[in-house]
Amino acid sequence: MTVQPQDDKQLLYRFKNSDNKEAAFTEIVKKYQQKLYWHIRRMVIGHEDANDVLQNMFIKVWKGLENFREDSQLYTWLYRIATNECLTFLEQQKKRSAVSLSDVESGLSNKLKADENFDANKLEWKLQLGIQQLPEKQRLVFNLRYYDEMPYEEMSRILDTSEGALKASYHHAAKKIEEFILNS
Amino acid sequence: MEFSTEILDELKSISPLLARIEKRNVFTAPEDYFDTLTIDIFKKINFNSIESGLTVPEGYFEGLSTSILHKIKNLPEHASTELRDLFPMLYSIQNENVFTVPPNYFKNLPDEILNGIQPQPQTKVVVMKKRQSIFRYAAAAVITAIIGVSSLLVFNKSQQVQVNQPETSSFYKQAVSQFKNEQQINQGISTLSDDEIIKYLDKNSSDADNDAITTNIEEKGMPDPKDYLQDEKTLDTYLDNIGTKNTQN
Repeated sequence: MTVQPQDDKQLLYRFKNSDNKEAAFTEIVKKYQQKLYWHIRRMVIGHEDANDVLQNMFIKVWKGLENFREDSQLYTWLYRIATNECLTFLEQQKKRSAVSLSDVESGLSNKLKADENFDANKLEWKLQLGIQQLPEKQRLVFNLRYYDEMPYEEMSRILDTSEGALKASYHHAAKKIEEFILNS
Repeated sequence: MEFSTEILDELKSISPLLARIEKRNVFTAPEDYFDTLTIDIFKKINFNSIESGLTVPEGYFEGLSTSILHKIKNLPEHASTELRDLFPMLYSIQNENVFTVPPNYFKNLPDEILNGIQPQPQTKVVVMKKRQSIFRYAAAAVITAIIGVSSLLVFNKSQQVQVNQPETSSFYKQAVSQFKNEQQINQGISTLSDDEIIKYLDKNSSDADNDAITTNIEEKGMPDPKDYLQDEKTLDTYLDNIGTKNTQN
């Protein structure tokens, strides 16, 4: 995963100092929309939910970008907002349906199975089902490492967790998924 | 999608099975989704800023009442038209009322209602006199006095029960007239015979007297039971000793 902090700095400068903020913001959206969309989509599964979360997330970015102090990279900041929005969305779903965490996870599995391309015999779908069995935080760590190939150092800044804990979490997650695939 | 060497090596060390699975995105997004996403986001951002301003179309309030009245006027026609179009059979029945009321019911109804609400005779108002607090104090004083007098009478009566005996009454009257001081009383008592004292105690002694006598007797100085068997004057001697002690005290 290549990060271009210099480009981001230029974009931020344009956003804060230009009369045409919309143009700078559009570039930021275009640059990160796909990465963030798939990150969100893997967490909430459904496209409509992912779209809602992504749009709300970018609206928050628009409102907060003016005051972004650049203590961290833009890329890290965006991922942190996206991750928080995902967790908030999943929390709201839990409250709305007044069900436990395990019920939400089984709900996510059902959403997966409802996908038109779902094939229970294919390993990649079994892998997805296995990922949905994980607790939310473990699922986040696995997705960021496995799909986004994010360095632990970067992940540590996003999730505000030590690198050691993240490595252990990724290890446990991979073992659980392997066990799930072998038993399914 | 292919793993980078670092990620693949790490995964192989944890789970060779997962490392063998092809890394593939199973999800799909709608076509052109990412092309229009920025526009959608800006629409929402603008909507949010409009929402905070809460603006209405120009001339909205001027034409509002006319618009509402127009809708009200058109409503029955619209309802009947809708009924005719959707349910011709119901429209053919029309909205004829199948219920009936007694003849002249509505004509007589106002009178009947008025009869039912004839003014009631005015209720007589009884004025309650204000109670004066002095009566309360007087009542309390009377009750207190009754209790006090009753207690006094009962107390005096219990003290006079023995005195009021016919035989003793005359005796006391005589004694009071004869004996003016303690010495004279002691001399008088010494003239009494044993029979007279026993007779008096039988009639007038109470449990309280017995308690008083027994509490004044020291158990240690009392004769042993076997002394009574050896000497028949043991009791007399003991009583003489008590009498001596009491006179000395």
